[in-house]
Amino acid sequence: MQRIRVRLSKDDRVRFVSHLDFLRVLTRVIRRARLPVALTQGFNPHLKISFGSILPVGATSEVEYIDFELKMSLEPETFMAHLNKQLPPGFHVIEAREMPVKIPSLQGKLNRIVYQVKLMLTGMEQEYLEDAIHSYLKKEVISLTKKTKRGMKEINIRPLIEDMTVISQENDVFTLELVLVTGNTGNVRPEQVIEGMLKYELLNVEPEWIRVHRIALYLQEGSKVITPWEIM
Amino acid sequence: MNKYLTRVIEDTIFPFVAKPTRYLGNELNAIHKNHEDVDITFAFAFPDVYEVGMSHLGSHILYSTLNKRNDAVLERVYTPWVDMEEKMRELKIPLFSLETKTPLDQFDMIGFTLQYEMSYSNILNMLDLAGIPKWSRERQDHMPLIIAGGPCAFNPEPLADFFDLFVIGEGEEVMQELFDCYKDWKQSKSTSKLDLLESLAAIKGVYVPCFYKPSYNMDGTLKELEANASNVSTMIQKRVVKDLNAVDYPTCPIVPYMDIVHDRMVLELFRGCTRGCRFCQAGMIYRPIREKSPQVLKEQASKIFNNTGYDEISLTSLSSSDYSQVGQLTKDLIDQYGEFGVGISLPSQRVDAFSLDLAEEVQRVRKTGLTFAPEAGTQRLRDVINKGVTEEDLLSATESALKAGWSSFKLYFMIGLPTEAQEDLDGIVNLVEKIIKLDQGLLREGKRKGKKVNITVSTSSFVPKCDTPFQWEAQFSIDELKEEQLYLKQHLPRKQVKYNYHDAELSFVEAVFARGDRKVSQALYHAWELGCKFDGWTDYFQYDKWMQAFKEVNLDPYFYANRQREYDEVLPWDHILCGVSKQYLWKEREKAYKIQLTPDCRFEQCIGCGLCNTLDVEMKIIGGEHSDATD
Repeated sequence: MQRIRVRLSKDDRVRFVSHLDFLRVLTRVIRRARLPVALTQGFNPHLKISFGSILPVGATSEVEYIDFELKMSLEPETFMAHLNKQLPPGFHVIEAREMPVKIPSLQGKLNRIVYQVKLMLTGMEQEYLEDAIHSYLKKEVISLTKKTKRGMKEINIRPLIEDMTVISQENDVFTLELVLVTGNTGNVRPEQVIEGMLKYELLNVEPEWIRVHRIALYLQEGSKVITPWEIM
Repeated sequence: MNKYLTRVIEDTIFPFVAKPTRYLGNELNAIHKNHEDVDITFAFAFPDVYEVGMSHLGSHILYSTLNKRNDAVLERVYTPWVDMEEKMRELKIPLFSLETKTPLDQFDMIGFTLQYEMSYSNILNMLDLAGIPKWSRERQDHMPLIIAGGPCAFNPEPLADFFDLFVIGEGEEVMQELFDCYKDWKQSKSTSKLDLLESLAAIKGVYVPCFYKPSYNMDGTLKELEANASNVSTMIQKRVVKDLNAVDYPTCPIVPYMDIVHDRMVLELFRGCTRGCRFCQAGMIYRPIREKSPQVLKEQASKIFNNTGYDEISLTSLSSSDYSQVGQLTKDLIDQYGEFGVGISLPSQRVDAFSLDLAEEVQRVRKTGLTFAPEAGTQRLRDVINKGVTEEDLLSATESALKAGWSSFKLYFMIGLPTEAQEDLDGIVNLVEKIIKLDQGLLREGKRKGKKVNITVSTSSFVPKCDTPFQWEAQFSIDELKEEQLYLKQHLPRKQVKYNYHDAELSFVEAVFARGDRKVSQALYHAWELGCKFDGWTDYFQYDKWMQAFKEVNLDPYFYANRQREYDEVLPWDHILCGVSKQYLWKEREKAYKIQLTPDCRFEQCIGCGLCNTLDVEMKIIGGEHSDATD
């Protein structure tokens, strides 16, 4: 047995490929490349693959961490090359490292996600936007209605927003950086954070479009930042 | 690549519609070419949603074959789902091809595949979304040539006023000739579509409807279809590929991102079926039987597996258990791919050819339910339709499957078949009761363990189709069909049995178009105007709108669906030759009423359907275990 953890990027071309669709892509990639990924036992065996965090549909990312459990050992570089040869254009493995076989799941450990959010706000000024974000973050409760299986539900997303800053402006396109809390306390999507600003009437224009790009995932313990490579 | 349109679609539409991967166009193995590098641009249109269209083998065949040409590009387009259509209309986005997001009106040709009558309203809707006039006479010479093919082209008349031409029969070869001809016309710098249509009409298997004019009798029946151009043939004969081993097969098919209806690799074992079921159009129009060699199939399987990574191989054909090498082929494929977790599926098995060994072989990886299609509830009616399956076949197949551990069965029946009576409905109920009793016996005697048997009974309503022995028959009325469905619902055992049935109103509209003439196009157009689309989807089918359309264009739908035709009536599709003669079909109809069976020419002598001589083809069985039909 061997565990290989990879970091994969997903670009614009495949940003609408959902998590479940991507899981199917991976199983086919593994079969095409004849990679020795282990199977679970049982009536309906499936491949032993686990994800760090599920990427929302429509977002791109450079930090998709995936663990593979292998039946026989392979060099991480070889494994990575095989994956890259078979992945459809738009997906790319950037790094691969061997990890200890028995470790806790990444998904259970990670608690921060950093997104870069580009949005087009016609006529918006950077100072106005910064002020708006400032007053937005000062709120103690940011309540949004979320559609769930049982109907509409009110949720407070404020505890899930750790930080939000304007990085740059180019014409009407603004780039923000969002640090969001993830894990068993709940999840919020960057689009919902923007939606909240609209709901509280902090933006005087509606964004014409929003693009979400995930740039980091980590575990925050007090003031210590632990990267996925160190989670084991 | 249309960069502007791509950007608009990605930012303003995709985030707001369900399943945007339907429209991405960059799936694994999709082909992208620069339009400036080719002479012919062709949009291949499937008038249903992506997950249905992508499951259709014929589309993959044409996509692969025609994209092998350096001078042409074929791109896909499916009917946008209702949420997508709404967004596109709101933002004035024209219908575009998936691969390069090129608006459809910029293509040289648009080819629709006609798989099912109930997709016709989607064709009009797609042309509308593309901003292309729907009636062919309203299209100008610079606009794309709008063509169609597929099984429903065997009665092209309901769509004759919308299309520039129809391709009759198998497309692999005729489409190449059509492309060559189009290229010659384009290079001649002619701008006249009439010139083009005249040269295209000379290709065997091509029907250009504007060169023919129908006239009608006082009673509304067709009098004749007269050729109004000098050089066109009065009869259009279907095209047929003689050797399937020799034609291209998609060994590098597109692998969709989303979960589609048939998400697996497909091997086509053979084309054609000569079992001779009298209701079955496919059994008549795809003749003769041409089996592919197991070597070719295994080579293709290996390529497809390497190019796709699918975990299931579907062995398809009209009746896969009839493939002469099915046992050996299945075993070989499992030996080769089983270790990769690949399973084999064998759709359309006949109960009289059911082999337990084969079923177990096939389901070694995943054990799902078994499906049988007795089609009718009594031996009399099964003989009328020439199904040739006995109750004993069904019960013994079920018994061995039960003993081997299966507990879930699907049974397909048709209601409203010619000569059907009360006994035949009771026959369905009896058959189901017998299986339950059989299962109880086996459980009691300890001959099987586990769950009690569960049975899903599905009935479809008989729709008379052209080119079948039942093409002259009247369809049962909607009320009669509904009564039968209710009867079955009330009389089938409640426990262990689930009963599904097709919408009778939908089958009625289908029957109008299956045997319609050119006049019905008015109703289709008006139904589209009233908002009909996705008619094959029960949730979207609007019967009241269809009835309103028939009424407002003054067309009697019952005339088409529920009227018995006489032998000497001129039928709207008489000029389209499928190879099986009209005399033979009538003879078969008479035999049906006399409850006489007709054997399969694979196993006994030639039955004289006329096909092999007319089309100059012969059946191909691997190992040659058949009597020669052309003698």
